Amino acid sequence: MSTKRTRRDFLRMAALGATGPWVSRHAAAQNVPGAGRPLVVVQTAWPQSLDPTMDTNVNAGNVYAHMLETPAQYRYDARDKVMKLEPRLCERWESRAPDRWRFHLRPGLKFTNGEEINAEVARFSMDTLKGNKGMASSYMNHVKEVVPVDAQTFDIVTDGPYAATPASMAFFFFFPPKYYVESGGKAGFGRKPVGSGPYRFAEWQDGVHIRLEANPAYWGPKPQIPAITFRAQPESATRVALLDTGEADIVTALPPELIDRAKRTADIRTARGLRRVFCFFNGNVPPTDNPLVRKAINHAIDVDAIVKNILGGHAYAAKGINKAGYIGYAPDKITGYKYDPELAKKLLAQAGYPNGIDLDYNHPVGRWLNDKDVAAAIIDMAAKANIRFRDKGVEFNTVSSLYSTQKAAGMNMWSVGPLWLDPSFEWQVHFWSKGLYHYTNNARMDELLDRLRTEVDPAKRVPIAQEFEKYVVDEYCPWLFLYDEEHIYGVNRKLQWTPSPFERMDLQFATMSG
Amino acid sequence: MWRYVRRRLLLAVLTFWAVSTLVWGLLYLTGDPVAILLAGTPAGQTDIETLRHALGFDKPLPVQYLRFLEGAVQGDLGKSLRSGEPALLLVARRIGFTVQLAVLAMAIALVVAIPIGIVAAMFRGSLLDRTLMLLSMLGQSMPIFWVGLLMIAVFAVELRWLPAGGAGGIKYLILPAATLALYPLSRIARLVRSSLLDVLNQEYILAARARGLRETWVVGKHALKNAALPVITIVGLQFGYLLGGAVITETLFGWPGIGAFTVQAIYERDFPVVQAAVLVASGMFIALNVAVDLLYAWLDPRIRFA
Repeated sequence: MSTKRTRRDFLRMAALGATGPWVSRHAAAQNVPGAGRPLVVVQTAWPQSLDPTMDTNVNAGNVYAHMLETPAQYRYDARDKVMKLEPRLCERWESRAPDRWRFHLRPGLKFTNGEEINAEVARFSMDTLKGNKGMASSYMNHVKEVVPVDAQTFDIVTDGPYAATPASMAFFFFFPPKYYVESGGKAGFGRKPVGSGPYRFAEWQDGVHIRLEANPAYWGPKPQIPAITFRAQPESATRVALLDTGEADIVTALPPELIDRAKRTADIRTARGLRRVFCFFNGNVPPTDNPLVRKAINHAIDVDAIVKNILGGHAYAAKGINKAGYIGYAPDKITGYKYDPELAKKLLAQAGYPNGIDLDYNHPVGRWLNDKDVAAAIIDMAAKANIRFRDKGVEFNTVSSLYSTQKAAGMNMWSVGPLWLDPSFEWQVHFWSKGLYHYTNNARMDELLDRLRTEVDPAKRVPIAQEFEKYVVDEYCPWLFLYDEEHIYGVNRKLQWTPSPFERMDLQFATMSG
Repeated sequence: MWRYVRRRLLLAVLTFWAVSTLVWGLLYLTGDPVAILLAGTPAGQTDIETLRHALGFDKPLPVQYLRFLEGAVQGDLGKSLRSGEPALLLVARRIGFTVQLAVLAMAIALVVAIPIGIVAAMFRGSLLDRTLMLLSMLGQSMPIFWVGLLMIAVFAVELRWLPAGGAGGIKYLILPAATLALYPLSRIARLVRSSLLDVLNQEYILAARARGLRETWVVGKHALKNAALPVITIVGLQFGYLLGGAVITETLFGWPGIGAFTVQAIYERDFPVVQAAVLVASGMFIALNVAVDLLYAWLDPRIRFA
């Protein structure tokens, strides 16, 4: 098994290889940003809007999350290597009733245009998020209403008890009501947002750059980098060239094959991401309605080999459904599935398929790192255990539409990114009988998920999350468990900044030396 | 002539209508547009139904089609699902970049290709002719992706003369335009040469030479105009393609034209923007073809009176 190279990859490598000696010669010429010019971040695509209710893509989030703030926030703890929920606009919160959480705002906060941040702002921002019917509206489905208690206090009233309410507040951005309306609502605000964060909006020159400047009146620790410019460059080889020429200080989403090339002039910084790639089974139709078949498929696939050979080691095999930093994360408490094709054959025979099985394998092409090659490797490996997949690789939109119809048979490749960094929120999409991609109708999963969703005491949630994961992974086995992707950045060597597992970057504490 | 113009224009309108219907239909080809849009979010079936209603996708297909046509006629192609801005406005912001790139690329192609074609034809069979034609064959067959990467490696990374990618002034435009020009340049050079050779064998050219006219005059005044017809067709077509958005070149250089923009809208499932971008690109292509047809008729009376 080896990493397949497309013709385009070959040409890309050849062109870049030819310039290697030149690049080394010019490495020392890399610019030193900070003093005169802004920090330049080059992403894969342009944001469509800087209104978080509309554009939930990471390329937009990386920009607006430096300007707009939330009641709570997740921040990376480099020592424990996990994301932790911390206060932000609110200094504290508590549960007042199973369906009511009280949040206390820090006093004296203002948006950069002078508007005050108070409880009415919270109510306006929630109404705006729901009313806009944008990509983020479903993120706050659990919130029934925001009730201002006094100027500095507001209650989040949920639609029934909901434990992940504080976690969800890390994704609830505050808007200045007067400006939001005057700027023309979502369309206007999305082009020229105003927030209260460490940076403020300076300019969006379409197709050229989006520029932010440090907010001198910021209430928290002041950012060290005076200005940030965001640009877009879809082609990864050109992103590396921008690092070489000093036109970029951070480039996102470097493919593994360009790492060695980028290392000549820049640092490579990585983080184990919170996006998990897996394949889900249709648990309602044969042959995957039989747990023995689902377990057999897990035993037939060598995930470590896929990570090593197809993904160049830039992924992390994940045997369960929980993630580091999430409540109840305890990988030692689950058994998981070892690579053992002989056992896979035995399990299939036990399930009544001594001659193996034939089934569909739906997967998107070009969505995740080397996904087509991963799918090919899975098909190859499975064949050795008499599991014969019909390769149904198609474009992402087609496959996602199929999944949401609940009609995808066999095995289906998918991924789940960090939604709120609370497991119940991610799990309800797949394991709850009301979830969009539920391919299971399991009373025990529903019962455990309901408990996890409604139990507000974090200490009591831990065993529920662990029991749920143990049951789902070791007994029900709804997925072929695969891996977590790695975030790979090319970074100017003079920049002090550590990427986090979260897909969104935080440059508030970044500094530049030299 | 006017009858010819009217017929061409009517045909263009019909073509545009057919294209717009296809573009509208494309939306439904990959499945339920609303479910696709909400993929990867925590949305449930209720959210899908709510958004479907809000976007009018719950109406019968003929009603949706009529609404689309009604909007299109009034210049309203809906709003971006990702920003809430009018889709046509978003396309309009990018179209300038595409026009700049296409015009400069075509200008480079013409300025270089026509002299090459003429020289090669005048010195047919010589070493110069063979070298120029070999180079133009290379230019036509080299993948644009490869050429672009080499341009970046040499002119941006090594020589530091020009930026590797992005936009923000003429210096950002040179590398993508030169890359994009290579294919039409090679094609036009070869075509100029072969059309000119056809014409140079005609009897009226022999007559011109017999009258003792200088060779440059024979070629420049008598041959070139007649050799121009097929060249104009190709230039028009090539220019139409360039205006439709040079996806590979734009992506490679991060040039924010309509091609790379449309690809991003497809990835982000922003259907009204995809429809608007495809319609605008098709509109430009059709308009350019009409312009070429009219030019053709103006140059060659046989066409307008046929």
